[in-house]
Amino acid sequence: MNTITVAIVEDKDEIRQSLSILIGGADGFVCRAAYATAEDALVDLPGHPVDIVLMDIGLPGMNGIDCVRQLKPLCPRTQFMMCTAYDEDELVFEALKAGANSYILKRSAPHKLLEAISELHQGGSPMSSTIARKIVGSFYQAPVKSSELDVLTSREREILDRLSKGYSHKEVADELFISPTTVRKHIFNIYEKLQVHSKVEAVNKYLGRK
Amino acid sequence: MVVRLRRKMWERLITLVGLLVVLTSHGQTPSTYPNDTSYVSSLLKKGEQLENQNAEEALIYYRRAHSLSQKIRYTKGYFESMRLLTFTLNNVGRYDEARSIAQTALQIAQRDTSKRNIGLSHFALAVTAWISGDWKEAVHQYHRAAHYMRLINHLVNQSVVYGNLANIYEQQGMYKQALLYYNKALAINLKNPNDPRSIAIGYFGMANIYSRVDSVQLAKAYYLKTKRLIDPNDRDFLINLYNNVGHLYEQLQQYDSTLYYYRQALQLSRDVRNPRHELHILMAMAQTNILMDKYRAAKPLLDEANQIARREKAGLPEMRNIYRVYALLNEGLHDYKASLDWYNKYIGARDSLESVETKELLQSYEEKIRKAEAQQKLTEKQREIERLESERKRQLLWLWLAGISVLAVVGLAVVGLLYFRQRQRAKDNALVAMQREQELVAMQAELQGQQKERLRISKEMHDDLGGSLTAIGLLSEVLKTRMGTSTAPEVVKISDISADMVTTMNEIIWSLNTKNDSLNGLIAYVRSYAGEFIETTSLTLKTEVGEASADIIIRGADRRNIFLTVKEALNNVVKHAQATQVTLRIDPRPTELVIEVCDNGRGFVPQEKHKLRNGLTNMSNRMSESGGSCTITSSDGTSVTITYPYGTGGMTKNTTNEVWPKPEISPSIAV
Repeated sequence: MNTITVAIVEDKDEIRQSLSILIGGADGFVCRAAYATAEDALVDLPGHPVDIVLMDIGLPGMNGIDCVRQLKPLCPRTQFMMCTAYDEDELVFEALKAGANSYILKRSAPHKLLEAISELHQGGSPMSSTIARKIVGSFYQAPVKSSELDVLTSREREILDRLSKGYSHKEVADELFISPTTVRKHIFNIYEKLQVHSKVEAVNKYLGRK
Repeated sequence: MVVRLRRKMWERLITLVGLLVVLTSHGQTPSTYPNDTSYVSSLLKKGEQLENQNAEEALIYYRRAHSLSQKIRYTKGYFESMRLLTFTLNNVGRYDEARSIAQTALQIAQRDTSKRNIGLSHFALAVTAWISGDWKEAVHQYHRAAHYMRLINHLVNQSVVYGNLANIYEQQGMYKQALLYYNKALAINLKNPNDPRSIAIGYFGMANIYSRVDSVQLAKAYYLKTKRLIDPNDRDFLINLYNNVGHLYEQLQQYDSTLYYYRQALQLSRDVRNPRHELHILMAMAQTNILMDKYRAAKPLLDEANQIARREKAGLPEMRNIYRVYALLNEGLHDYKASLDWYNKYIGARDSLESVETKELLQSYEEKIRKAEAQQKLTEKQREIERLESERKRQLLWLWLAGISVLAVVGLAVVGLLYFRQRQRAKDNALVAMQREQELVAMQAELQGQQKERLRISKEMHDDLGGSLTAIGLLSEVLKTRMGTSTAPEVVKISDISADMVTTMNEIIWSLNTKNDSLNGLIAYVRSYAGEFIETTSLTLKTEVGEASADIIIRGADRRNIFLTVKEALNNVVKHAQATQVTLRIDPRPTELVIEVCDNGRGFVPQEKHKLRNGLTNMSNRMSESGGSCTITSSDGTSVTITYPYGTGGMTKNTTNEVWPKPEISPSIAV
């Protein structure tokens, strides 16, 4: 079995240590590094890339969102999972736009955390109804001149539409006759498109096209 | 010289082909009007007899037949006379006349839609174009002709058209195409063994092409095939054949054979008294002798040719060739002075020939210029007409505009009057409106203050309490992992409580965040909570969620009350109802939100009434705090109905979901 290499960026010592103990102690996972600041991660990670980075949002100095934005192009094969204390939807949404691939509550049970990590490693992500509603708004309320890359497929729209109404992943899967894993893969793809879309949006704003 | 001769020969071939068409269509003369039609036929016959000796006289007969047929509407006679007329006119170089007659015929043919006559007219146009040197047009017209011949399935005429097309392609040096069309013609002709001459013509044409492209063996074979089919009395054809075979042997440098065939051809042309042929063959023989360095043998032949040329008043091109061969001959005889004289004559002839060509060219230019001028005059007239037309239109437009302006002035006056009255009324209203606006601004300021405060609280809760709570939870998890099976129950309890606290805090933060103040957001949140919550139990959740027609703002406190009421209802089902299924029905009506939580459990149980009543009171209190209500009924299972009227605080806001096509409301089941 392939071991998944993980790095943690978290400023609070107890949490950072707890997380690295939980991940390092599980089969199939290796905790490669743990950084207390975004700046440390920026210096070290590009030279020692890992599969998954658990990134706290609220950090002293540079925040986790900006850190992801800068690391993303430097570590193209790394996936970023935002760690939040609560459903900080606004910030999670910003992080997803900046390049994060997934998010999770720090407090989640260890088995859920590990599940989420290996799922992300296989290209699957979760999405809450609030995030879904924000993504819908981003894609459809302020239409920008879009490139082909950031246009959602009809299947992705169906999934997003149901998630934004509070359907669970399983409900979506049942209704669309696909597996929950497939739903999560679609969500993963939606996040990727969201990033492209956000870039296009930013460029358009800058050029004054809006 | 050779080329010249060969070209003459092709022209003879055209004559042969053309006559064929005339003959084949001739035999079908009907006799509906015996007197007149037979007169037309006799006129045509007379013309044909005269055609070769006196073209002008033949033309008189043809013209008479042509106009008579038109007068008595004798269609067949009309088109036959048209063909003969155009053909003869072409032979004497009067292409324009021929073309206009053929075009008129085409128009008439198109009007009476006889495919045969349309085809014949195209054919006449094609021959005209061809002889006048317009290859492109000729090919076009031949193809049109072939089309109609195919339509009426007139095979013989079709083959003639193909033969002529082949000839054109041959002259254009497009030998592949030429072979293709010869083959097409042959394929048709081979079906008709009664007409060996047509087949022979096909073979002959192909042999000529092979000769041109130096496929000597093939050329020989096809000449032989031709020879076998020719009627020995068809001397005209034989002359052409012998001439070409002679030329083929000349290419092979087998000059004895060459001379043998030329002599045969010469004898035949003397027999049929065709001085032109005689002249050309004598020239060819003289040239062959020169090639063999037999200058003395060449001389009498050339002298005879010269004699005939003078007698027959041959054209400048022929004379020029004679001069040239004389020059070559004398050069061979080492009589350089004579040779020089002949060369001078040759050059003079060439120059005057070129000047003739130049003159012709100038004439054609003049004609073109004249045509262009006529065209210009026509366009000028057209423009004048258009100008007058547009002027008329403009005048009409002005009239319309004037009418509309009058109407507009009247309309404006009425509107002005109404506006004046309206303003008076508005002035009175403005004062009231200003007061209201001030009130609104004050309200909004208060609301903003509240929102700011809520944001501050949620941020502090998150930053200060959240971090520690997370740390507690994680540390207890680490402890659980380390201790394994020997974990103290207190540790598990710490872990559970901290998890619950995180959940509760999440809910509080959610309700405090004004960004979540939306009906659709609330519905999604409730639904998603129910899904997650019931998933951890053994129950089945059935969800029926209606679509809100517009999104409505719902304040944080109300959202929280509604959510907590639903949460408690669901909690009661899981804890007390002993049900297997719970149904969550959310129905956002235009003026109120109705949520139902129903189960298929045991309903009210007396022992638990007290607890239940407490729960109900709690839920009722929450809802009435927000201006709503909560009722509970029990028959088969228990049903909790939560009603929340949107009230005065509710304002619609743009819905995020309306951009999408709405999916149907379909109940879904989560296990």
